[in-house]
Amino acid sequence: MPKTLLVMRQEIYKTLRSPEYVILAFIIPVLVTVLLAVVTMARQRSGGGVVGTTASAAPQPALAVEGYVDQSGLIRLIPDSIPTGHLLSFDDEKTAQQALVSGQISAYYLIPRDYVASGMVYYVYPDTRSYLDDGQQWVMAWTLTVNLLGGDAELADRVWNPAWNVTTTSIAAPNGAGRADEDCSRPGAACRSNDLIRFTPSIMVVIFFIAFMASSSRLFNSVGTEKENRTIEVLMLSLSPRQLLAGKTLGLGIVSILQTIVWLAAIYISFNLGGSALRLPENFVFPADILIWSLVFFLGGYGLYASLMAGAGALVPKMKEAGVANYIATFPLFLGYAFGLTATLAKAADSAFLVFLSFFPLTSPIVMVMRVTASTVPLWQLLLSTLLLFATTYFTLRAVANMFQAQNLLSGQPFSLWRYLGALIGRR
Amino acid sequence: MITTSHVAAYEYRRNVFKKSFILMLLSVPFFIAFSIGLGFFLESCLDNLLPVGYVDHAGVLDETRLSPEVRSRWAAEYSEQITFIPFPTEAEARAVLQANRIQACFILPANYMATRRVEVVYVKEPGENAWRQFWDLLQLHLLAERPPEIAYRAAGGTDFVVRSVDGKRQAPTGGPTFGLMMPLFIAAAFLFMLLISSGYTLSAVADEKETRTMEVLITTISPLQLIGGKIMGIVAISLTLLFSWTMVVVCGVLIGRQAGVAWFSDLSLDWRTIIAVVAIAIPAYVLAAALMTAIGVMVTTTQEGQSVSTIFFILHFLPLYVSWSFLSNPHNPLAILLSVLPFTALMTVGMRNLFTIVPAWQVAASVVVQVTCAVGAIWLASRAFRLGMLRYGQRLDFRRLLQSG
Repeated sequence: MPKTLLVMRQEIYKTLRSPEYVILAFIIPVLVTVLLAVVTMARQRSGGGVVGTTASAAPQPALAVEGYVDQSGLIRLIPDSIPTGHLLSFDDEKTAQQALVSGQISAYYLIPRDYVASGMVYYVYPDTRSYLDDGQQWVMAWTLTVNLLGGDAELADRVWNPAWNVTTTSIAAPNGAGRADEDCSRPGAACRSNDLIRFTPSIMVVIFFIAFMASSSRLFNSVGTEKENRTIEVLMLSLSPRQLLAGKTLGLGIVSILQTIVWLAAIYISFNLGGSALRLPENFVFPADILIWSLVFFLGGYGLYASLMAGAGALVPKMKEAGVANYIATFPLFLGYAFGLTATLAKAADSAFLVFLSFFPLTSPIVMVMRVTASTVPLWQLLLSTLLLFATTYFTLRAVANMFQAQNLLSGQPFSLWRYLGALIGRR
Repeated sequence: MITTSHVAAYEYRRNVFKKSFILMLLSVPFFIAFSIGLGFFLESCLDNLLPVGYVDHAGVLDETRLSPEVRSRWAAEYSEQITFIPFPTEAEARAVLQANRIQACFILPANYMATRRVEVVYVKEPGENAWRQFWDLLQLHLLAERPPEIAYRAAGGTDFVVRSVDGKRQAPTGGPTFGLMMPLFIAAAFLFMLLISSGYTLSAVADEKETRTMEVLITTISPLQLIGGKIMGIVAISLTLLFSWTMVVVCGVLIGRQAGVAWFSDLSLDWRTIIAVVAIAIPAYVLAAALMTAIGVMVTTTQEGQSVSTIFFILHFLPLYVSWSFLSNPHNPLAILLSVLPFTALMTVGMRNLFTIVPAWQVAASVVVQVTCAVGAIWLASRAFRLGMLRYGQRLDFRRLLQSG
């Protein structure tokens, strides 16, 4: 046991002294939090920042003068809402081009003869402007709509905006009473008016993916490097392979959990105290239970992936071959990341497939964190997923501990998927 | 020449006939397929094909008012059209909704024409397609008194196509076409090839030094033959990858076109932009390969070389981080500067071509800079190779490299 503690202490000491770890684990989250705190304080002092709303309408940019060449003969009037002299008619394209070159107009529209059938209009402006610059196309779109409807601006407006006021009601509430579905009091897709709140589950997915990759890679590199520079041969003289694995896993686990706690604390503080800087609604609260469950799944996920990576590290003779081993060991994590990230965009956090992924132990450390952040997950699902994850972690740790034998650690055999899988299931 | 080709063939075989290479070769098709699958997953989650109900207290959605022509054109607009079911009362609609036979119910109150208020009731949020198709249906009914072609155009709106003044380039405002994206794809492919071959170049020399085979090799072949052969082999490896991936992409595009994917319908290419990107890419590739060779000789281990080469990779991807500035003004001073500088030119010109026509003088200036730097890098690499090929355990720094001889 003291030897395990010695290895653990050495790993903690070594990691805490590395600049990469200090930057990633402490400097970046602290800087972000401090920055948000400063912005919040500055806003409070200036008395501004009505949270979640804009105090006044932004000034409308002035309209540029543009021209048009109407080959379809559709445009007979310019709507009253467009200031006079801002949309000039030209008989042909040559004249319009001359006006564009001379600077009389900033762009022109070419309305082809078959506009009514094709719906296509060319928008021509100098090459100095980006093709992706939408400009003020609405001016021509509105003019065309009004003219299509014989100058009936009221009908044109009705067609443009068929609904001014859309109220949505979900009747999914258990009492059947019905409720408005917009909920910005916690993270998740139920908040439509604030992108940051809506996409917080995606942010959690990204953070956890980085955390898992960083922490499990540390164990992989630690084992692989000692194997490559042959320190492991010396270590094997005084330590058993299991003591080595236990010491490294515990030591790097502690620093990884510390890193995750700092990140989660930074998120918690930023969302709850830096609300005005992030333009969050006043009633928004980042629930503490998300943090607790996230930590639980991080612990399980770290144990699982770190042991898988340590196993791969034990079989890699040279760190140059690490790429393939890394790729194989973390592939399921990547799948969880891809689907977890997409689920928020697809508003499918609680779809059957995502629920399955949140139970599957290789993907649950990321997908369940996404689900917990996106909505309220039933307690039994959380408990069952945790149980499955920790059981898998336990059996994987045992399998990897069996791989930590002198014949693997001191072997120079190249890494292969079959050898890795064989070693995992206990086949020599 | 024979010795050089032997070295090239050995380098090619050594790297290509490995499981890791095959894995890398397959990784791109896999990720393309995975991304497409993920896209379909996303699409299927956002859309819902269940019918949609509506309760029309305002008397707007009277089906008999729509002409058959408008109705058929509207039906043709969607690959999967949703069925809209009218309900006389909200209670009936809610009962059907609870039974999951419709995905949502849109309610138009009696005073809709005055207030334009619409209520939507659902159990689970309706699909994006339900919203889209309902608004279209509502617009078409509001225009029911108009001639069909006018009603359809007014509801369908206008598609703007941005056109250059000389009329040679067009870009729909909905997003760039496949043809417009081509210069960026070519730049990205070259960059990818460059990154991969840089890794091989770096390890080609560093490996020989690490294993001390270098000492044996230079007793039989000249340094020029050795480095020439290695570079030829690495270029062949990169071309194998590039060719395989290009074939996969071409097959994907052809299949997509056959399947009616709109994005692949317009495959017209602007050869001026493609030639401009390739003209920059070739010297940029030579520059990177020569620099990696120089680094491979100067460092003591492959790992050390990889950490130095990371700086070059960051420089290559720098334009991605400032691409927001090209969006609004593709001719800003930063864009012009990055288009000319070594390392950043390839990606910058590739990206700027999406938004504008890069002036010929800027492309010419960039090519001149890249070629000059490439020549300089080749000179530096040959010098480094001569000085550092037998230097072990001691790094050859740039100052010493430039001072000596």
